[in-house]
Amino acid sequence: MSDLEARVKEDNPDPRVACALLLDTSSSMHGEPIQELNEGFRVFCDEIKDDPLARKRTEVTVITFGGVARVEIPFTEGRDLEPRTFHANGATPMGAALDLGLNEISAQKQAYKTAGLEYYRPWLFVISDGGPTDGPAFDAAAARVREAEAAKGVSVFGVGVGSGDLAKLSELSTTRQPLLLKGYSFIEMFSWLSASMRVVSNAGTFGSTDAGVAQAEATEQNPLPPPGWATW
Amino acid sequence: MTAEAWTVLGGSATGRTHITAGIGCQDAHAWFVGGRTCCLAVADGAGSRPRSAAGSVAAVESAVQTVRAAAASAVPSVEELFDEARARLEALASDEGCDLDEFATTLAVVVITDDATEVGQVGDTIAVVRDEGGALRAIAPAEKFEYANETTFLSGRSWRDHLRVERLASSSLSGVALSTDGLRFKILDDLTEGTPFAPFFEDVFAWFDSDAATPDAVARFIDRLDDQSGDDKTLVVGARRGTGDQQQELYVVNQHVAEWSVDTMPPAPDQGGQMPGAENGHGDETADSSV
Repeated sequence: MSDLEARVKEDNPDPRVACALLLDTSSSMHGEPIQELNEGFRVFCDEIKDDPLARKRTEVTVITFGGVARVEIPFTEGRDLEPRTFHANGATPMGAALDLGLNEISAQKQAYKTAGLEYYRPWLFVISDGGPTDGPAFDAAAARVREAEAAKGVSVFGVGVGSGDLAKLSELSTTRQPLLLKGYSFIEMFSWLSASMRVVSNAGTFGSTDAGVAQAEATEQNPLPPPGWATW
Repeated sequence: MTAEAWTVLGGSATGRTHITAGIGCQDAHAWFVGGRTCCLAVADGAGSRPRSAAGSVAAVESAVQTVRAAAASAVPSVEELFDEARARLEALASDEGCDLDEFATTLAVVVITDDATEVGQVGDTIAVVRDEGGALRAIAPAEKFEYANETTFLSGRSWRDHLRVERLASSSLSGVALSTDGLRFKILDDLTEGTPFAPFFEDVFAWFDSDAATPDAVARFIDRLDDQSGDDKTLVVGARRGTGDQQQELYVVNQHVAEWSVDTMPPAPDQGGQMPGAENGHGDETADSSV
């Protein structure tokens, strides 16, 4: 007598969580801050590969804003993510970076739909040690971010470093206050981020539309680890 | 038309993410075989805790009970079964003085008589039929990506607009299978189109004809399946098998609330008693038939 053994489809694609990291690489980050940020990102790249689901479900893009805002790393699966050395330079065009981040997330979501991939709510994770130097662009971009958040299209996280403008960062979200990094504890912060990606990608809170994702989130809560890297 | 009667097997398993989150199983399934009439139902509860499982259990229970209560000559249409199931949810909400959405659930029902087989679905359930030649076809798959919408539920205001019904000639069919969406990554070939992964259903129907085919074997199989979804999993399969006594069977199994009912049980399997909810009635021909 044999138990039921049936062939199953092995290569349907996993759902994805898109994570856009917006990193302030302006000149004020020069020295220890940018070194610690680079080290933290290296830890993130290592740790994201440790979890069997996070490594294939997490997709990360890095957008830097120092002088200009640009896509430094296009969306890459966790398992293929490689460390990179970022350099501090120039002003803080945070508004341009937010616009880029939203555009990238939106394009990625569209790509998921075209490919028949389901997805978790994307993350927009913004780190800055100053205030935006592109005021009007920032105001418009911040409004866009709040709108996307209200439509449950994205989860927004703001982290201030040193004299980072928490008031400006708080304009990005109506549901989540920005946190202030304890010293330059980028390693702890990035370690927390990889642990959070692990929590998300092991959860069942994904769907094929924003509304479907919100629906799944309503029935299953998955608390993130406590951010021990933040000061209170 | 074949003379063989329908036999039904099935099971549910709590999803990995539901175990982690400590929220138990919200899937439910039920079936009824009486004479030449057969009814299968699966449901995926999505309401808010703690009532999310109650909606799915009530929906499947309602469907099979309504068929069971009807005369063989007047088996209700699948639309009537959905009306009854919806009314059951409304009664539940009214009894408990809470919002109908608390009992949100998807529902798929197959009702088979000598002449017609009707398949009804609300929400992202999966229904597959096998014809006499063994060809497989998904019935009215949910549109997952085209819809800007969310999953529709039996508790929703416009549920009737979202009820997908297909009628088939029973003589053309050799098997049916119902599933909630938890197994979609493993039993669908194309997630967007909702087409069945044929090798899976071929293996299941081939196994169905063996002596090992028992409900708890289905539950064991789907429980150990690494399914990618992490969601609760349910599979109920019906096929023509044997020509023996036309047994009356009624199951309502939901592991989380451990609620179930049995009329007359199928022949006791060797490996009975393994799964929660399946052990009580094996070989117990006198089980209380009240539901």
